[in-house]
Amino acid sequence: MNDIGLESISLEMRRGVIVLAVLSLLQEEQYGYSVLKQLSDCGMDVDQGTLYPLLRRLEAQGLLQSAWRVEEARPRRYYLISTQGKAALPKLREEWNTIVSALERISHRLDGKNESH
Amino acid sequence: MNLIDKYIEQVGDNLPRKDREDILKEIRSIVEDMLESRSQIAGKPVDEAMTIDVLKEYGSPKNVATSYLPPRYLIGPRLYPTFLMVLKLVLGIMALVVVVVTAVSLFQEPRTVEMAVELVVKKLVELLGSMLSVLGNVVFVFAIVEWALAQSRPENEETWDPRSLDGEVKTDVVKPWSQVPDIILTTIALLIFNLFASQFGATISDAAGKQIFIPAISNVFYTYLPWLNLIWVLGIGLNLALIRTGKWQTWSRWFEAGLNIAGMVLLILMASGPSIITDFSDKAAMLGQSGVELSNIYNGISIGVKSLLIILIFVPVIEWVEKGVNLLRKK
Repeated sequence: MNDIGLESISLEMRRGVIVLAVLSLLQEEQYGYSVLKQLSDCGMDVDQGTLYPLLRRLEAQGLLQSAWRVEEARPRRYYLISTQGKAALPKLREEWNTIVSALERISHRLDGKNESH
Repeated sequence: MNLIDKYIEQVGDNLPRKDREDILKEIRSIVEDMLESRSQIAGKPVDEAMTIDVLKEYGSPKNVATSYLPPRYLIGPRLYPTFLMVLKLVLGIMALVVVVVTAVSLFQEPRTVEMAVELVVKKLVELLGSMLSVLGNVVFVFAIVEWALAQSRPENEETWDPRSLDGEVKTDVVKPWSQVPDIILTTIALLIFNLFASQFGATISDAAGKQIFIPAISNVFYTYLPWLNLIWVLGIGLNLALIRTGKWQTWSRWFEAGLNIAGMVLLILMASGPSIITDFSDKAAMLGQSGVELSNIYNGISIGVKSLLIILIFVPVIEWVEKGVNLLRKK
């Protein structure tokens, strides 16, 4: 597989978890660019074209709330997880843990087979 | 106007009016945050080169705007395979019929090579025009079905209550192949009445021995044809949607009712208006004995067609009245 194909799959995998990452980060109020920087600092580089529209979609779905703050150097839109988002977050985390456990079991099973060969 | 203003304006040109101002305000805020961060890292004020780098990193205006738009389909992924299948089927049948008819015409009477080539080219051009017309109709129908499917909401599993089911088992399930005969017959009707209607008729010799073709179907029919086409194409679309969804739903019942009413109106107009069969009785005598005989035949066919139209009008009316009476009796 070429690099572009691998990168595309890698991006798809990240897109799958970015909602969980964003909701987790936004338990504390932040503006768009700071969310991007924090994700990057934690090792999750997200494309700007993916993150900012996602924040709006999550707000439209009721998982986030936002408000413009004009008292700072420039107007900034701050996002915070909503009540609905807070209810969804533990379920998403549980789902993520289930997936990780399943992948680990699959990996151990394959490792076991490889060792026996 | 500086570079950022131009950038924001271009992004805005590709956004829908709703939320445009809010999105642009947010993009401007983020771009300025990025510039501030770069400036701090570089240890120098924001300059044009820095602005260009940041805007390039943010993305082209068109791509940025697209990322805010929901996916929009004229014909979406779930219907597209069916759309392709129907298109190939219909266009294939059209091409086959034209090939057969052209071959029959070529061998029906002696022609020179030039005349044969002229006929083939003429039929090909007509076929191309008809194919484009059918393509447009099929796309139109599928676009309507796509819109209708997008409007229908899945049932809410949490609020649905089994106690709300009534005692009668409804015949809402649609078996996949049950609609196919209807689709095929309607497609054949579309082809026949759009491609070959003008060829139904008879050739007679007039008093001077000259061959004259008298079409059986009058010009009046062609005023109804676009509406017939619309009803048939929408009918095919409904059948395809039923195959896809697997059951009758409220919207499809209403759609069918609408088509039935439209069809009924058209039948009434055709039955009550001028005949759709050619009436040339005023000129028949000029064409000699064969002209008079043909005129009588056409008049007889006209009476038969009108009778058939009246039957087609009254049979469903009687059925609807029966259903109404049965419903009242049950209540």
